[in-house]
Amino acid sequence: MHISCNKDELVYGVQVVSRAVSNKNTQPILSGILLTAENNKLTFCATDSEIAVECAVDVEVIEAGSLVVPGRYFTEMVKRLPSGEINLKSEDNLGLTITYDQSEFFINGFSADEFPSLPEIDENVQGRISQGLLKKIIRQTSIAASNDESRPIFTGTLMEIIDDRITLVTTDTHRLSVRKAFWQGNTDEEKISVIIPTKTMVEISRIISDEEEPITVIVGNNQVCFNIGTITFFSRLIEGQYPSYRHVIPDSSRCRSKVRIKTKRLLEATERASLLVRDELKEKVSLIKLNAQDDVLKITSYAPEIGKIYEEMNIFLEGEPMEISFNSRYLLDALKSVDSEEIYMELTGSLSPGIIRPVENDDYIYLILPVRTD
Amino acid sequence: MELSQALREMEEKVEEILAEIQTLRRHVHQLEEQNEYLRARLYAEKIQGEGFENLVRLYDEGYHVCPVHFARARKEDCLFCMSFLSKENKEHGEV
Repeated sequence: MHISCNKDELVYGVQVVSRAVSNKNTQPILSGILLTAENNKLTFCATDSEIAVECAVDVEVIEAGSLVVPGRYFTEMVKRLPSGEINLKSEDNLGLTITYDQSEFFINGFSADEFPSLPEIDENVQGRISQGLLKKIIRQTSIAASNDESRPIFTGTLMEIIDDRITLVTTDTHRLSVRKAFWQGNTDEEKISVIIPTKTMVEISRIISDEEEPITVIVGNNQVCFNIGTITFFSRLIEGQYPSYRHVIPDSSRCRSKVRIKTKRLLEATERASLLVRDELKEKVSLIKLNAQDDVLKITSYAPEIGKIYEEMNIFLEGEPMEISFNSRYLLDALKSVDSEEIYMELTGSLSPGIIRPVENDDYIYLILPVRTD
Repeated sequence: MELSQALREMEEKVEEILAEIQTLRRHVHQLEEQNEYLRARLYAEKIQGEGFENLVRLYDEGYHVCPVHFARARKEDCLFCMSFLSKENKEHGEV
């Protein structure tokens, strides 16, 4: 293999795939990045068995070939190379010589034959969605997923596809986030329902841009694949049945208090109130009590060892006065991601889940269980 | 020589410990299986006969009553338990 390219292209390719490089020592080959040079393209590929990422950049291929280089060393070296033209040359599978200016760096490598081949997707459905929208809906849902690996299903994001609607759902069983969006796709099946690891979704959102340019999503039986231009991202799916989340959402006819609030104002107040939690008691939640009455929302939080806070803000209240306490972190997550100037908070009782949603539409619903304060 | 003797002894100890770990692993596996079986049985019994009050008590004592995690310990309230109890509660008044 022998290629000539620009430093920026190398850095781009390496950065895209580096998150898929495995940190585990069980399979040393997976700690490497597979470089393949052909047809004036250099393709980078990395996988940790959970996800696999492939990215191609334009280069001048002098001699086609492939080689696996140690991911961590190669990434760090490439970032530190001087700007300008770089030459990569490998005469056998023993290593790669990187030539820049009048200098060179040699790094040991592995044979490309040892690198696992990328999964083949048994395609069930394929569709397109704008990158910016996908990024946003991942941000709005990833917050409510669980980190508890002993319950794998809840670490995942449920992706439901019915006709031209795509719905992402996450829950850690204390809160639930549901985001609907339109996509351009077609499926023969009535409904597609798969669970994608939320970590994968977050990685995807890091790679994609805020632009309208579409990303292609291909859902298979065991894998999902995202395709953006020259980048292909594979991920395994989480096996199992996602619990029926629709039953958990209170029926809007049971709503007893509907509060319309300015998001920024409530977010700032909640941020101040959430300071009242001691560091040494990280497991203890910071509680925030909301009291809605006569178009005024009173916010209080009290930590005996530190102090207390009291704030008031104007709201529009439809229905009964209501007092309810939330874990401030759960509330903050919702307010930061709702992306709307004003929200509705719909409450059916001080012990029933509260719903937060944008005033403009029902595309996003965030459900939080209140904290019992008795 | 003393060093090789010490190394041999250490190797033997490590092997013993590894064997012990294997035995413990088998026990843990058996206990986990038994636990799953008992959880399933308890769930079936609770659902069939003893009724709503027992479920509420179980939940209040700090255990899940939702089908997904039935009888597992819980720290915070669970959306699925609450929804399950509220569904069951329709004939029993407010929770």
